[in-house]
Amino acid sequence: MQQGAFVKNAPCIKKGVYMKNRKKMIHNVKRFLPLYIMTLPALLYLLINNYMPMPGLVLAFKRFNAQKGIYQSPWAGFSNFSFLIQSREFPIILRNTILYNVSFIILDLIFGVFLAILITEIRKLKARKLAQSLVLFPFVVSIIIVSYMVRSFIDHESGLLNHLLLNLGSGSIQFYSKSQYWPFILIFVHLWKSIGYGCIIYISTILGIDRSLLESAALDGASWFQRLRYITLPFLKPTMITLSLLSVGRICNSDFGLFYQVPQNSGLVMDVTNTIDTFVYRALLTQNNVAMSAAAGFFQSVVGFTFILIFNGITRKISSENSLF
Amino acid sequence: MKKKVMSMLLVLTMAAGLFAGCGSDPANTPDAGNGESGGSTQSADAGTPAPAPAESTDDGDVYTVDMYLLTPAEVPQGLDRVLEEVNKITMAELNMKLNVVFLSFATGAQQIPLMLSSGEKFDIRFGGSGDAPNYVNSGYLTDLSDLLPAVQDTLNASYGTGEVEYASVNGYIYGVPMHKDQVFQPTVFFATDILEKHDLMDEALAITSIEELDQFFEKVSALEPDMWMTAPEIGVNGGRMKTILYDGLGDMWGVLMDLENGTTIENLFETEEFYEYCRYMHKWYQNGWVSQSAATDTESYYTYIKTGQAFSFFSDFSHPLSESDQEANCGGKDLTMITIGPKYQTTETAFQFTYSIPSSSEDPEKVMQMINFMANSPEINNLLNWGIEGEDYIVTEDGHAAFPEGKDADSVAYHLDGGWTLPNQYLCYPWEGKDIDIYDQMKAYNTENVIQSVGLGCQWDSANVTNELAAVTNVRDKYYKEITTGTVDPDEYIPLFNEKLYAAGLDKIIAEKQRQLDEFLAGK
Repeated sequence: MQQGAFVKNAPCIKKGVYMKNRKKMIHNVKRFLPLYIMTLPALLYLLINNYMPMPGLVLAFKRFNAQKGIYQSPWAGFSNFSFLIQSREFPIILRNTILYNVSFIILDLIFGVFLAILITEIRKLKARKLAQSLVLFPFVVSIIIVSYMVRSFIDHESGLLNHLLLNLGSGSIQFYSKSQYWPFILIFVHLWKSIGYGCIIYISTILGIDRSLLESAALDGASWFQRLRYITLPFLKPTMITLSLLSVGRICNSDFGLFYQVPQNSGLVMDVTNTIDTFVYRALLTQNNVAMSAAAGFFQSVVGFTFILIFNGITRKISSENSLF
Repeated sequence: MKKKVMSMLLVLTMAAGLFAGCGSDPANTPDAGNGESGGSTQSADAGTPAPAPAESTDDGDVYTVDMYLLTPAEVPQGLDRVLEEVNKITMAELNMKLNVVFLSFATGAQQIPLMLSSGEKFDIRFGGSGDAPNYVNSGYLTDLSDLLPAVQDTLNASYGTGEVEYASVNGYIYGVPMHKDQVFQPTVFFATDILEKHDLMDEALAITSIEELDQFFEKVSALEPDMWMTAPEIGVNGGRMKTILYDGLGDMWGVLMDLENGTTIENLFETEEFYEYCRYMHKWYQNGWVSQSAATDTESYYTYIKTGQAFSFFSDFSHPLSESDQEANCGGKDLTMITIGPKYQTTETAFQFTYSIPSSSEDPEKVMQMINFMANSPEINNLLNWGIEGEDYIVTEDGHAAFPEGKDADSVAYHLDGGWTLPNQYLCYPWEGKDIDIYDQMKAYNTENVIQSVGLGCQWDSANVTNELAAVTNVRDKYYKEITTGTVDPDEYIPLFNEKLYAAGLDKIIAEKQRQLDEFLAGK
């Protein structure tokens, strides 16, 4: 503001600055042109994949007819949303979706950072690389395979866990029909599977910290915990906030594979495994209604966007340099 | 400077390379599907038809009919040569070309809806009737009412079963039924080796009801204690209850229980028949006669029969080719078929699969001519099923088709053996080993001693109750599989199930279905 006022009162300087800036800009553009060209495919991809379909959102408010096309189809108001929002199940699936996501966000953060710190403490390079890869590995395993791995542990007849329980003298547990166990199973499977992804990013941030800072702190007598508390964690903060904000944006979405495949679509545990995505899938599998599924996606995006705005606002209040925008 | 120019060039070429990679020839899209379904990349390459649409642009007058067939069999190699022969015939007779693309059922289930919703041009869709009302409402399929009169006489004659019903929703005719079995019958298949081992063949063949089956299981389970007496059908949503006769006019929400004279739609899950079925399943479950994981299992019963874990399974199909079909599904295991109920025909059984014309077709009238022509052309059906005569198959003296001397399914250039998906399998030569009059038997099977539902031809349209349908579907997923596999006590869970269904709006669905049935019956 002050700067602006200053520039306004001195037009000649403004012009000079402008010219200088312009020259600098042209110079910069020239210098980075190859880089700009390299980003072009990614930008085009973003445009084609994420922005061009956006007018299609209007589908959520249409009674779709292929012969008329999306834009000529008659309007349907909010009727496409009612199957989801007015459903009796809606409070349950919304609760499940949000609560699972909140616990995922918190636990991913805590365990991700914890694991990253442990891994970076490994001195031997080869051992550290191995640990990194091992942590990331579950992330690339298909959820279908994961669902059978889970099954091999908790299956009623042939599961490892049930064999163990039987040998210990207590009776076996029918996990697939007892809903009280599923919040824990799902959270555990999620952590096991997805923790590596955030962990890798935290590790790279920690490794990016200037070693001399830590060394001089150690020389000055700072303990390991003090170094962690005053150097490593502050450096991690921006990454932690960015990753969490990104997951907050998907708070209304759920990992379909985790909630549908891992419980093997078992009906008796559906009260704690049904989320918005699985509900929509079940509801529309036989109906094939594109407008209704578009409405569900629209709803999830709007809620996610609102949450991002809220949390970004909070972040901006607390530490403005770490907010997304 | 030179270095800079070089790096610039490098970046540019790399970027260009990226785009070249992104671009894909739309004509190749179906090929990708072919590759998946073929099971071997080799067959995909060879099985890919030369993109006939491209050819058709050369000659404006010649219309190319693009037909997408789903095939239970492996996608055959060498389709190009066969289509060349087919096109010689169609060009001479109709001045049209035919392009056939084979997809596996799994690939087709994903690709066909995408093609329909994207408006990609194709002319013949082969598919089940379950999706049809939604497809009709979404405007994906052409109304055939105006196209049929021109060809109806010859088309009807090709079925050889007298009067022919066409698949329709609210008077909107969307499908031409396949030339295949059009009736269901409650059927049980036993593993023959077990029957023979304990000398139970005669006893098995004498079974006529589920009560007798239950007693029979009692006996067999004592002899084979580790075996499951039956393997329930496990679909994504749980299987059909195949021993109960009902007509749901397209689904199971509200059904006609009295097929011949009934006019009232009632809730299937409150009927005595449903309770009885579930009580048997629960008893079998408790006795360990079915898998204890049945409710969460996703393996098909064919696997359990093949591996010898299960002794029997239920089926809807008792037609003349059924036993050999099912044996093929079970990896060649010898099976013994019995029936435990009458043959019946409903909209679902009659229009299990149909040919439809998507609205993206550029000339539905010509496509209809093609469908009619193919339904009456032995040459085309033999070509598509067995390949080129003399090269891929020979005709024996008694009129069977057979492999040429010294050849088999792998060494001939083309062999589909997917008769019922073709325009008219009745016109094919029966394959060696099948009865010479097998297709006449099939026609007779479709018409003799069949209980015909009063609702035959009426397929209900759920457009007015989509929200309720979404809700009951979620309730079904919660209880249906557990109840019908016997995992839970039916007397406790069925009332709970029904309570939740009514809370989700089942009575509204039943009322809507009743209204549509009444209208249908009034117009009959």
